[in-house]
Amino acid sequence: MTGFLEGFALVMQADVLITMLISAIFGLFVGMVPGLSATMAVALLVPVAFTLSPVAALATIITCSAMAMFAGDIPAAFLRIPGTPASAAYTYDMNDLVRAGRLGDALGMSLVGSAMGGVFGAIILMFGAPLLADFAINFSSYEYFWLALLGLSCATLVAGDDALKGWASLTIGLFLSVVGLDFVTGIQRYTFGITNLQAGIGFISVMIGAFALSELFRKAAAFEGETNGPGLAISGRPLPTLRSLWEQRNHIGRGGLIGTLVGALPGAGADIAAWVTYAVSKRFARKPELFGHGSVEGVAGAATANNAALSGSYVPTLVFGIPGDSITAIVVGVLILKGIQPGPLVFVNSADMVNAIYIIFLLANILLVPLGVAAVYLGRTAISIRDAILYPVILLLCLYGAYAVSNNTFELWIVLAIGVLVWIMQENNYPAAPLILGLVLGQVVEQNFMSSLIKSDGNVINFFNRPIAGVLGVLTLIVWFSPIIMGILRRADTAPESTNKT
Amino acid sequence: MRLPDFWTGLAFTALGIAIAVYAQGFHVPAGAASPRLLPTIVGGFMAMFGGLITFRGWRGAGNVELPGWLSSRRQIALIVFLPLAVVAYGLLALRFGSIPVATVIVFLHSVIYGLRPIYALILGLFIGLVVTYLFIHVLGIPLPAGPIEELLS
Repeated sequence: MTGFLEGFALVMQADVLITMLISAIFGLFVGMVPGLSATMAVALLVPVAFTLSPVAALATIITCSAMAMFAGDIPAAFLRIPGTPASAAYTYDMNDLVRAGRLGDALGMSLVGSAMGGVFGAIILMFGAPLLADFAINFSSYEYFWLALLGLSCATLVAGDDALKGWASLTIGLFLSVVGLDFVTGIQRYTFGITNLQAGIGFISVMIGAFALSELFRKAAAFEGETNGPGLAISGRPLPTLRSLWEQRNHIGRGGLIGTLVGALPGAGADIAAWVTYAVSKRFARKPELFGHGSVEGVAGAATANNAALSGSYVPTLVFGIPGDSITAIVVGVLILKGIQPGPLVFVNSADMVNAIYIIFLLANILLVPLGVAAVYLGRTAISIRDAILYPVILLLCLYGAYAVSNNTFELWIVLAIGVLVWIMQENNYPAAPLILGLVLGQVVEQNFMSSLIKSDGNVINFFNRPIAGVLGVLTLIVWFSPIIMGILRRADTAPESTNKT
Repeated sequence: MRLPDFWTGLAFTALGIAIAVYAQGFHVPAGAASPRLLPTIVGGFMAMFGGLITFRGWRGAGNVELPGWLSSRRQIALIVFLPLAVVAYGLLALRFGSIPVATVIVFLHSVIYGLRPIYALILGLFIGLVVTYLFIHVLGIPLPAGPIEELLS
């Protein structure tokens, strides 16, 4: 309790609270720009963070990342363009809900879910960090391989009406993930002598092309003369009703739990947490047919998960000094620079600092609600701007956002190629979401598969030998082959009936 | 552009085969981990899914629908403008800087959308300056700079 009070006293300093407020506004602004992710928002704050006190520096990073994560949902809801990769899973659901006049069920649900997810993750961080870290540290390449393969099965869930086209779209994403230098041998694959392709195809550029540029193409193709706005009548209160929140309690709770667990796995992160939760939410949804077409359940679960994953990623960071994702990699750098060595001893040597981190998480997520509502109103005003002003500005933000990925114009060619490809695909009823999923998980699947294969000297049995790997492997095989088995069982059931009839 | 499933499926099949065949040319060092493995699997699955889509859609192979936007000059201009704008920024910004290229892109895009040229020019100048300034000086992102950026710095 003394440590907690000491941590509280550290946070309740004027400089910490002021930097939290400023970084919150900055995070909201950056998160709303397509292409600028929460990681980039944090990275942009690093030079400032180094000049601050340790607590203020951590407060800046935590607050900024939490805000940016939610802010990515705002352009997703209003324009079908996710601001950050973690919002991609439920972009279409939010946009369809906003179009139906259910702003509270879209952005409101996402806002409250994000805040609750963040708080949930922080509570788990407070009480279960060592336990979770033990679980996470047991993950080797075998477990990661199965987990990623399980994630790929989400493709069927985000495929939309036509599963076959969803799988085809997934293979495009998987193909994009193998472009560049091979992880094991260093051999160039599909680079065609282009140096910029050696590092692979950047996820953010693909996302800008697949969601932003293709959307601009779609708007241009559907343009029917001047209007006073982009044809989106936004109505409804910015927060969900208590009843609606209560109805989504299971999805929010599940999103918080899955998000924290996935976030705690080093190398996973908010994007994967959102996709996995979205898929799991569909399995448990009362109206699974609405997923991809305005599902509140999908939004509630996935939006909760990506903020919970932020908190979860601090588990391996604090306990072992292993960054859970790119944001916590920056946090480790800041901590070390400030003389705090993350690891098991941090709970003894810097207990007040650890408690301060917990309190900052709680405060940042509480602060998210009022600031998030203000950002929703701001977004609502921006969307009422006429097409002739709004779309040129979006195009410019896409160009700058793509260039900012690596300060290289090559990213623009990726954006253009993917934008045209996805536009044509969507015109022909091929969904874009599985493509993104394939790109996100393709590298994880291949790298862990190859590492495991080398470790086991080509023996596939080793993929099932470890307890967690075995469970995940069997689970994956069940998920992948259950439709075939169910189909055979159904046929077997109907066959005797038809025989009896004859 | 709505194409029959037969043709889009065929495109996936052709691409999948090309990916798998090209992968066979990758050098395989000794050991279990082959750089050919995943590309071959991905190409194979892509060809298979494409083949199934082709097979499913073979009856409607001749039903090509021309997109509605081809009948409107403004819609054609808006669609053609988007790739041109990306290419123009990619090629010209490094030479002339972000502000002038952004100003021209925003100006032309809003004119095509139907904004009066004088307002479009004001918008282009304002957005070109403000957004570029925010990216460079507030976010610290080193966008391509030219003579105007040098004057402002």
